[in-house]
Amino acid sequence: MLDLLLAHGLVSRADLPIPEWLFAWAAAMVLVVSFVALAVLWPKPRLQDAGRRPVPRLLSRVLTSVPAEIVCGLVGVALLVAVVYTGLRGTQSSTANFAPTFVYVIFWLGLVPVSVLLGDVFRAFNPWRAIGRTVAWVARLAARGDLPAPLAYPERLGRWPAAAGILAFAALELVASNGDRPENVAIATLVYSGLTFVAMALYGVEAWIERGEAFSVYFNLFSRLSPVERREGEVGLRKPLSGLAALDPLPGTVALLAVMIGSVTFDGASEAPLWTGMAPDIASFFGDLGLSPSTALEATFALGLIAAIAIVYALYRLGIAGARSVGGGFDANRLAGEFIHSLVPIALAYVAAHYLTLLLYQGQAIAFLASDPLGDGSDLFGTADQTIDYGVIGANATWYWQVGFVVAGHVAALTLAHDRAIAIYKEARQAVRSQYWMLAVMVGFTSLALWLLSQANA
Amino acid sequence: MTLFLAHAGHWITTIAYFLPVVAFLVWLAFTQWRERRRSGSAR
Repeated sequence: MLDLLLAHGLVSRADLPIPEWLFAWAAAMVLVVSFVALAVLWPKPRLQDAGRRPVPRLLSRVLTSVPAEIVCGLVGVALLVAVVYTGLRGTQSSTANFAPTFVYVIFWLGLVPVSVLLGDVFRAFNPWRAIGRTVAWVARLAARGDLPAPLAYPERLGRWPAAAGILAFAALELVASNGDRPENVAIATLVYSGLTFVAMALYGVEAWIERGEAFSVYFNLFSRLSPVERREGEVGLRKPLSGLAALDPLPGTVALLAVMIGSVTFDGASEAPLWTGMAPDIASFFGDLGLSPSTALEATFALGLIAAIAIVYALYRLGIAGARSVGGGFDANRLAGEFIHSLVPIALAYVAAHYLTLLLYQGQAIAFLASDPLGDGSDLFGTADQTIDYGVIGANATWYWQVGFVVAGHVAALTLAHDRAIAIYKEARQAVRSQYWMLAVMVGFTSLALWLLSQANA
Repeated sequence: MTLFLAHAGHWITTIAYFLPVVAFLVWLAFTQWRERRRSGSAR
């Protein structure tokens, strides 16, 4: 598996004041207390109306101007080209080539906190959107008029293509035995780009970016936690979390969230003794079926990834089934859609807690990889000699931050679910009783997250 | 059995992580059972 992804297991804790499992108990208590506080102090929905305050007009104009869009688009396209070029032409050592660290750490992990703080930044830098819009503009000029309208995006597709895209990315990262090989990263980027251009040609650039393009949808979900938003061509500030309350529960959204949380769950669980003890037996089973050792191992990890996603999906549906049992006349699919936005802060908590050290440590490598992107000894920016400082965060501090992320993410999830419950249930008592089950789901996800984190350093 | 006990350190700790979930589910099941019983006797 990925050498560089193992970096998040570098630290070990030896001197915590209480056993790690006791943190899970404390986190569960925090959730229960938060639940009671919400039931008592939050009697009316406050997040369903995404009211907002505009930022100063000049700032909004600059941020949404055509030159700003062009510059951001060019930066995105340049980085896409850099990934493909360095992946194909550079050294095939995953730690000495720009492409794997940029894709798996800077892009995949680094853009998450940026989206949460600053809003949907990726939309501006999205290279596929920039290329698609440019091609459409050139085609309109060449045709001297409007182009034929694209096909209507099928409603039933919803966010399913995005779920499939994120699953494919997770499989490349966690299942493929050479997923971190620069050449494979570049080829995967080219294949994904080709598919994206075909889909944009069929359904239109904006329709595909909003619903089907995996990374746009992924970062957009996290950006909905941000108080910063762009709406109707203007930048404004909204109530924290209210962006998620406005999430349209399109088909495939539950699957997408299950993939997002399940893939991180599997990444953590794959380091647990439970999995490392079981995996060789499963691989030998696949080997007995005639698969080569490498393919058998990939099949084993694929099975583990699917199982983790299925467990997350089942846990959520179980909570929904419980919520439905209190009455209210909702069918299970409607309820699953109503509360799915509450899983986004949980997905964020999982990503932030699990990949904190990977981002902080391996993220520093981009300084010397940018200077020597091909790994051929060049020094473009004079930073090729920089090294990774493993002292940026200590072992205990890491654990406390991780616990903090997990607890904060789940409290945010509870808040979102509570606010939605009092908006859709006619009786306040029924709304609170339905949330007992969502609380059970949150406590389950909290315990799972902290157990996984403890396993990473077991 | 010996192997099972030899690895007790692993699974006991794992169980400890998930005890709050179990405790909460037991409480939830008890609450629902009590409510059903109450609504049954009210009828």
